[in-house]
Amino acid sequence: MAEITTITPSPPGMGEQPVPAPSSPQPLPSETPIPKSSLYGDRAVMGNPTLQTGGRNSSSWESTPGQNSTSSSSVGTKSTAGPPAEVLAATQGETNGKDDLVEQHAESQSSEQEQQMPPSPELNPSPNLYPNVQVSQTSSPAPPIDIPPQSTPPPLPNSNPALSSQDSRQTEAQAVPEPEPNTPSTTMMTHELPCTPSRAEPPAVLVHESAGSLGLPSTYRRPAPDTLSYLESASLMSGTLESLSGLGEDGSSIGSDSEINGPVRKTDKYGFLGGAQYSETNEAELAVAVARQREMKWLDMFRNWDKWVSRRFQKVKMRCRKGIPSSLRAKAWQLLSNSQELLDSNPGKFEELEQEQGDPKWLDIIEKDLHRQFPFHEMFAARGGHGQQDLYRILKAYTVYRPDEGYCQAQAPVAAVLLMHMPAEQAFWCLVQICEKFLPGYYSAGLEAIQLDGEIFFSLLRRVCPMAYRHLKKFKIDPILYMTEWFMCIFSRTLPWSCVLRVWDMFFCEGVKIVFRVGLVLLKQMLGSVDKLRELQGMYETMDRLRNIPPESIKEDVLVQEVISLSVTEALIERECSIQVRKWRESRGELTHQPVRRLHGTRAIYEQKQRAAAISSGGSLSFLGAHVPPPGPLRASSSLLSLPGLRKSKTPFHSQNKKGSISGSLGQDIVPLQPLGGGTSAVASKPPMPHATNTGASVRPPAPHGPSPLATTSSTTTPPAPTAHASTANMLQPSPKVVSEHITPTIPSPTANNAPLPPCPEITKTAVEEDGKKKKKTKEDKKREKEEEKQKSREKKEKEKNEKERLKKEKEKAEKEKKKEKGSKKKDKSGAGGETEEKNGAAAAKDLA
Amino acid sequence: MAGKDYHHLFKLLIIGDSNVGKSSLLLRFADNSFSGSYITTIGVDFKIRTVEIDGERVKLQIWDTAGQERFRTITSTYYRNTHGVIIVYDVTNPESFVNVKRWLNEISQNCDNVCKILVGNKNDDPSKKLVDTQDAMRFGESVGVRLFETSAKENINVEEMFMAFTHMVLRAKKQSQSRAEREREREKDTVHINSHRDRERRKKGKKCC
Repeated sequence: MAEITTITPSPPGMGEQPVPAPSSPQPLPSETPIPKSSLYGDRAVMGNPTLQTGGRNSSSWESTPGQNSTSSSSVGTKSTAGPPAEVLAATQGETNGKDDLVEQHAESQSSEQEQQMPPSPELNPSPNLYPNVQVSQTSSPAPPIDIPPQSTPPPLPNSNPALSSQDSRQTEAQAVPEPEPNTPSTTMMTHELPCTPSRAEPPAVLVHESAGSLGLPSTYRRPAPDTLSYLESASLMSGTLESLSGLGEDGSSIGSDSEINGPVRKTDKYGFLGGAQYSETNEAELAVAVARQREMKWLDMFRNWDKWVSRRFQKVKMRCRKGIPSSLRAKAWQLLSNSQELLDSNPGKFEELEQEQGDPKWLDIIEKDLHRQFPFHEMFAARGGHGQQDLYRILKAYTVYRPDEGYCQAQAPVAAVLLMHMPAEQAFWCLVQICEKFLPGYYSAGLEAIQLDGEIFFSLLRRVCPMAYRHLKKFKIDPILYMTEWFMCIFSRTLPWSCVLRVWDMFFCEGVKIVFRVGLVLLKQMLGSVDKLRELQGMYETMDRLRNIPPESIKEDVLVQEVISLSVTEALIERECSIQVRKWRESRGELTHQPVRRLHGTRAIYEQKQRAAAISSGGSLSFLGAHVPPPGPLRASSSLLSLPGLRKSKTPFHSQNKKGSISGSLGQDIVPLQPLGGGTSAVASKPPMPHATNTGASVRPPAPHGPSPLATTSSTTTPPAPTAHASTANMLQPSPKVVSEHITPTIPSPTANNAPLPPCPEITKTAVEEDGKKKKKTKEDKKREKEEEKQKSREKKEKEKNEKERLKKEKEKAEKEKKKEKGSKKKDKSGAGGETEEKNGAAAAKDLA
Repeated sequence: MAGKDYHHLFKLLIIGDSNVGKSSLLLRFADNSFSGSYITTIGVDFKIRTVEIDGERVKLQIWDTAGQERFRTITSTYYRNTHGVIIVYDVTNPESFVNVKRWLNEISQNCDNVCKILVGNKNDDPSKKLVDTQDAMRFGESVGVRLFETSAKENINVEEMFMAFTHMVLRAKKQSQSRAEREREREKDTVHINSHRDRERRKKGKKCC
């Protein structure tokens, strides 16, 4: 509802220009080739009904212009409405108008069908050609009417300053990608335009007539739209039949219905044309007043975002749990994830990334996946359509942004969901935050993080629902068999769409905890009672249940309430994580990728940001103190010196994780080099850091892993000392090889990483100490101290890890030669294929770095 | 067998590069349908179908996997208790055929003894075909794996491939069963001989006493 309200300013403009008419048919022709393969058989079976369907499609195109003209009249109405009160009244009218819209649309469809019956024989000979003609005709008038839409936005700011500011923001956001996504947005508007005219009419009626009289007509008319919506969904579900075996029997019956009536392509309020996640129009919606109030509250939070997050986070969380208004969801997600800040601090970065060539290996896989994400959603249904184009841009940009990560197929549906709500650039930075802060390691080569979370999940299940746990254990159903898609896609393929959005609202605010809770609630619902388990006396039956969740297990309100009340905390998850990491090491050996500390939602991200800022000031001071002599005469250099501290401080945990490896490498470094020499190199390497930082940090502050090895490499070239210089020169040779060729020489890479690392831990340690002092003052700081203690223990563990890793590398070589032992099988599995081994090796080297 | 609606239960696994048509093949065989609107397989999916072979009901539990390389680290679980593995490549994509060797290696690392079959999918448009049938057959013979060329889209050879493979798996099971029986008979003979020895020893014992 609110979303439509927000879109209101532009639909009138679009209405004035017939652009939506030509744009809406454009996607249809491109979409046609795809369904042809599936429809071909249907056509053979249906015969005439198919042709009638074609006729109806053309009629729907004809009706669109008429509706546009109606909306143009509504524009006039709105322009005259100055006072906010009238705007609100109009809004309410619009909301009620939705029902009227459905009814009127149904009526128009039925009347059109009647009209078409006689001419259908004439249309039979050239049903495809006719739409094309319409396309050409409607496209011609578009240019002359470009002027009117520009005049539409101005009236709104005057009427409502608060809304106008928000609308202007969204307008600007929409304006940025305007050249490319014009068609999809227009298409969406086309679907929504029919709402505008009917919404405009009812307000007058509302003012004069009683609600009761309105209620009666809507009640009376409801059966018609319900029937039509059922038929529409039925016809579309018949397409779904092919992808959902669970609906085989039902699908066949629905198919027969569709044969009789023929499908009428219409989207639900989320943009789905059909499929499992299509939402029936019967869903109850919030009262207008309630929705409006929520919007106002969210807008207020937007205006004072930092205050709300820092002082009233519980309120923010509560509101996220209630669901973010659809009109403000995109903005909210960007603020909750802090991707808005990434976008603001990296102007033009996304364009740079997407214009780079990119690794053909990843691009090839990405291209094969574009048409296989939400094929029933209007944005992604057309092969090569704007939705798929934007998806390509985002996924490609990410592989350029994080070449060490590359592309994982599970990232595509996540990126697609973001694109359904925001432009490509905003969606890209949101994806970055999900991959790096919320679900670090989930999409990395080796998929260790997801496996680890699978073990954590199973352990939590034992606590939350022992019955389900025992059942799954009995049939040896590993978590990896059902939770992989759930977690990696954040349930975007698993739940009804209204549930997906509610889950994502909570996820952006509270982090991965929500993912665990949703998974646990689902299992509890499906396997949590004796009655339910009776039907599942086997592995197959159980797996089938998990793969095809019964609708009654996922009612939106019930699911959300269960998720909220489940007592699985962040602390518990972290505790289980450390337990499972230990078990992993005992049973499978060392983790290839060190577990990156994940941030549990908005609050954690905010606190990290604050901590980074604090460390930054401290860091800059320490830098100044340390480098007074060399950069003394240059003030610019002193200001630049603050950057490395800032960059590192933004990821204090990452650097602390690195400490372990650094300490280990330091041990090695001391042995071959004289302590004085090492000290010299450490001191000497500090000055060059700011130069490297200028290049690296300024360009990629949000990528802690990316720039640090580059900075490290460049810093090694600076030390002037002859001994250090000579050793550094030797070390330099393997470094570029590791980066460019992805080769991981066991001996040189650790050595190469040793030289530049010494200066980092000292700075970080100083910063940490300062943090410690500050934190002692408050209770919250005490919690942070505990976290630091954990990190220290992690550092020690990492030292041990490094030693173990070296030993294991030697063992792996021996075992690979033998290839007979069972151990070799396990390792080969993890390192299947030479490329994978190289990747893991490279990743390990980078982790060390 | 009592209470069950099948005589044999076989778990089959479908592997191969991404986008070669693994899910399409499964859907064609299990539900006899084809869609242009598939989604990428993330993790694992599976379907079931029961067929009849020589009067016996065989229930097939067919698992579909993610083809991207980085998902291989989690597929070891899928191979557990697998009776047969179907390796799929795309006849219009030579790289997917080249990667069959890797997939075969993957199988040998996860299964000690399992039936295998090689499937060249998307074999419905000669103008797009880039992997020659003869080359594929030659390769299949060299590694001892039978080859089928199919089209899930046009429903070409899909049923035949699955039925032939099921035959293969069933035959392998029966052969292993017969071997087991022979071994049991040998064990019986051994027991018999041992009992003889024991009796003789007892007799000798008596004499001494």
